[in-house]
Amino acid sequence: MIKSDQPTKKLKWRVWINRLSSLDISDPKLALIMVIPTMLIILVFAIIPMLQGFYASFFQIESATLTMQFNGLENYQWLLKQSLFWESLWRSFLWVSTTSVVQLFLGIAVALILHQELKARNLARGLVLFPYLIPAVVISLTWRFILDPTLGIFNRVLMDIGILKEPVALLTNPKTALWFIIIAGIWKYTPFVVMMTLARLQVIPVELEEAAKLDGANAIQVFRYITLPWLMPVIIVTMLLRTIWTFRQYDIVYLFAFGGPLFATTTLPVLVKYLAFDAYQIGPAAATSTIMVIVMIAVSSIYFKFYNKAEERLN
Amino acid sequence: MQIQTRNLNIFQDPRNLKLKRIAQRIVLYGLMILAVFWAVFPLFWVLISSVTPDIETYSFERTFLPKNPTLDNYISLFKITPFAVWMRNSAVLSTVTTVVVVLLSSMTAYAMSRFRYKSFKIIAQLTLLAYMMPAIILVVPIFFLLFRLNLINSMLGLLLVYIGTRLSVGLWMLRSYFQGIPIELEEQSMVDGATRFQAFWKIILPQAFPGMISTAIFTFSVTWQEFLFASILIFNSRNQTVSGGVATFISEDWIYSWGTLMAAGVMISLPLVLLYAFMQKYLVAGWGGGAVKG
Repeated sequence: MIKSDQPTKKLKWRVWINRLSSLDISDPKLALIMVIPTMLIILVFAIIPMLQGFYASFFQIESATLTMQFNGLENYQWLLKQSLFWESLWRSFLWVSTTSVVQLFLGIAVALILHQELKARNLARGLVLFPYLIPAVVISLTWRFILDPTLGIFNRVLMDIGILKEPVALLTNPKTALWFIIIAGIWKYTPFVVMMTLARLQVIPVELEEAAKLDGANAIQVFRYITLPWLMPVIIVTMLLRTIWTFRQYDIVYLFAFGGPLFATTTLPVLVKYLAFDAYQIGPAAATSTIMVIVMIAVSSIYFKFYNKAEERLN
Repeated sequence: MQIQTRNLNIFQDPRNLKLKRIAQRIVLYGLMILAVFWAVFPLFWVLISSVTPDIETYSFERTFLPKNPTLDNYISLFKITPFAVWMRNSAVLSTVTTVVVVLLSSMTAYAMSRFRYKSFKIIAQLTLLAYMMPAIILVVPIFFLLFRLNLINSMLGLLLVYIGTRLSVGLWMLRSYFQGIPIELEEQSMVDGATRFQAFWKIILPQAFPGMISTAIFTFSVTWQEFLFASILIFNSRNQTVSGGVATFISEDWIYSWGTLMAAGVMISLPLVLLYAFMQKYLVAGWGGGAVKG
């Protein structure tokens, strides 16, 4: 019974394909059919919520009843008076700048090494990209385990060598917690820079480098005058993407220490979550979101200027 | 003068040149090994720890490799915790999201690359805006949207959110792919009597396939890893995803078994690592390409 059922099912599928393919819809109609569902979903789940958030930032919202009362710029005024806001902004800046700059240099260096003619190069390329695939939850588990004061390998090895006399709790210390999140961020996202740089290195015109070598340029000069300008547009796009993604990153930062100890790892996204869902300050949370969007737009426009310049220089 | 100074350079001597090349090789291999070690060691440590019995993990004479490797941690992960349910939830959510996102965004990307309407420019800009938006600023409005629809704490609600937030990314990646397919191919087949649908099905789809695969892998892996929406929109352990579920282990004040947690880490990472290992050739071209051209 089951066996005889299958061919007919397959046939039905075929019939549908044929029916669809013999349909003759005019171009404008077809375009509408193809575009509208996607646009509706993007509107409902991204654009409208974004506008709602912007709108809500001018209201006082009771979280229990969800009654809204217009209060102008009061949310912003309140927020700008909170030292927690300014500290979070500073921590976001620290987190974004150190993570993306170190990623950039490390990523380009690794890409240049993996671009050389080395044995096992392809295997190494595959392995180096691994951290990019590891979910934030696992990264947080792993580092918590490695840095655990009593059981972690970090403390044990350092104590065995004799560098440490007694175990240190690095993730529960407000002074060090953020730095370990930064290291984890660098670990996870350097592969992205490697990937982008390698892709660009592979399409570099060989004649350019050969010609420069014939003219007597040394390796450093070839890199400085040929390779680097060629990489520049990709470097700028990569940095733009990394800056924005790091700025909005929530999962790794939150899962490492839940914003603590003593708010020491609260960056802006973690602050939004804290305000909205722990402190029930929905208006100020919306105001923080709006400020985040403004910062992102400002940063992107700076990058686009650099990008256009780098492209011009290549041509 | 020039020639003389060059001759003074000891590396111009053929024997020294060879020596220099060998030294260079050694340094390069050393750096390559270092990079691989840095990338792989933490994972390796998780894997090792997941087969180390807790008695050894918690003892002070722990050796680097376990003395009695065991799969007990995996057994207790699946028997004691709801991990299997979370895996199933995540698998369903990620698969359905991936299929819907790739289908819808290929359709739309095709339309946007073939038909020229002025409104498409605005659509492209809205898509980019949605793509760049931090998920965190959407969380509060989406929470209340789902609340009104009575879809809080439901997998259907989470699925809609995943499709909604991944679609702009998928569309942005695929748009550059479809733009790269020459329009003449399709026009030729339509002159030969194919309908537009046949042309799309037989000519365009095979060309766009690598792009669709890389978009699919990207969508799947991002959805599989998603934590923010899962942790905020789902309260019920039965409906939770792997990321949201395992995070509840961490937020408990005490961690009852590092071995079990490490086993969970391996199990969460495994699908993505396998996916990547088999699909590697599509990925580097797709992710790099899509983003750069974007």
